[in-house]
Amino acid sequence: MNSDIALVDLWASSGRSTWHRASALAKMAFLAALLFAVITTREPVVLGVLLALVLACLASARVPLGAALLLGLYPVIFSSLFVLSRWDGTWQTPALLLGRSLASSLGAVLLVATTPYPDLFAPIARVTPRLVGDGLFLTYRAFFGLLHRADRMWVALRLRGGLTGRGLPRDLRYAGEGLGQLVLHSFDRSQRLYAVMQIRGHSGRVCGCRHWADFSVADILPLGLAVLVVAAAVLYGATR
Amino acid sequence: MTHLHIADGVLPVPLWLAGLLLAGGIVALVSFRHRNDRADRLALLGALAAVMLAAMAVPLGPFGHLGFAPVVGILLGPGLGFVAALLVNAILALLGHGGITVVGLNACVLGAGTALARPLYRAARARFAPGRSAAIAAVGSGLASVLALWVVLALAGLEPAALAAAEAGHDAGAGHEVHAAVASTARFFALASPFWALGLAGEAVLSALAVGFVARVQPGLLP
Repeated sequence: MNSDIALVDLWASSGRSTWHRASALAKMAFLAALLFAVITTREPVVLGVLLALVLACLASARVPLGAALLLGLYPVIFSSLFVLSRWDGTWQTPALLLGRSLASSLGAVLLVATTPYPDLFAPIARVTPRLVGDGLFLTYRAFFGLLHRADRMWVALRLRGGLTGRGLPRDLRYAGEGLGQLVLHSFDRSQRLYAVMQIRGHSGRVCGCRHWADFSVADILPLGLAVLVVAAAVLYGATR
Repeated sequence: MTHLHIADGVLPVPLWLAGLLLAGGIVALVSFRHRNDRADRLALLGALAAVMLAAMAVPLGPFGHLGFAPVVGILLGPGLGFVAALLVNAILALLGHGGITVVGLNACVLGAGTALARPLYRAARARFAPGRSAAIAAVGSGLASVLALWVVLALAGLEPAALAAAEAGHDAGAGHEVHAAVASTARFFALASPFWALGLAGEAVLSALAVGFVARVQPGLLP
């Protein structure tokens, strides 16, 4: 999962498509519209159309479809146990539940894969308490520092015979102590980050203001699709 | 491992709306309580939430991964531990690893365990060493998360109208629906319990080892 986050971050910051140029707010509106349609529909065929639309959007944003599908399938695996327990003998119920999981998670992947994280978290930080808004920034930032450290540590453990796969108790001991090491590192890192925040004149709020509300012509695509999806969902619901 | 990434569109709307309200209320309360904290607490919250995300890359069996919520709960305490659970679920939801609409419910499920970890650890420390106390806290915290998830899923199967009719004894069909919902929730737990048992054991062992290591190297960090 660590490499997934790094990959999504790379797609978001290096892409140049219309989706990447659109503002974070417009893409959030599209995701909200998609979620509305996904949740309200009871027809597997409609879900199929929504799924095809999200896949087309991902392709137009030049996000690698295979990798995006793998990310989207993750919650589907978890939902499968729930779906199995609720199975009523028809194919529609599992198709509906799994289709909803996949369409909504691919919609979320489209948003994060085309929006750099400061633009993504800035509007959220405006409407949430400081602990959540600033916490999102700091968690995401700290994660990348930790990611590199964790990868080096697991490699070092393997190279030195710490994780051989031959003795479970010994492997567990080294893995547990490795995690303890990560905890200590994160403590040190948070202290250093606090010192840096003080030096830079931190005034009680991490600022995440960038281009999240810079509206441009590129916003027509997500906003137009959002209107279309909501209108189609409402009209289809009214005619059923 | 003891929490489940519930996806969008699986649970009824009133349930996930209630989850968002509950999680929002708890966060508002915690924010008010910690309003005068220095910024280093915020930096620590971010750092430990990031550790939770990094630890989730450690697989525990075919359907799960390490959660590390008990260790983060022990280090941060109940309030900030709950916020860390919310942050982790929000980032996971944005990555497609769980629903956006159910961030509140997922946070309540994972946060129930995180919030209990420190009180359980403190109670166990009166008799046991840090590592063993962390294992006890991890088991207790994992069970709390499973219980919270059980409540969510049981509520998910019960349509409010059917429940009201069944309680009033008006509708035999509604009573049947309630029984069916209870049966499907029980079926889900029968399917998931082997994975939970495996995850709970792994979580307890790794939490004990990690906390034992912290206790040896920097004991001052533990409560």
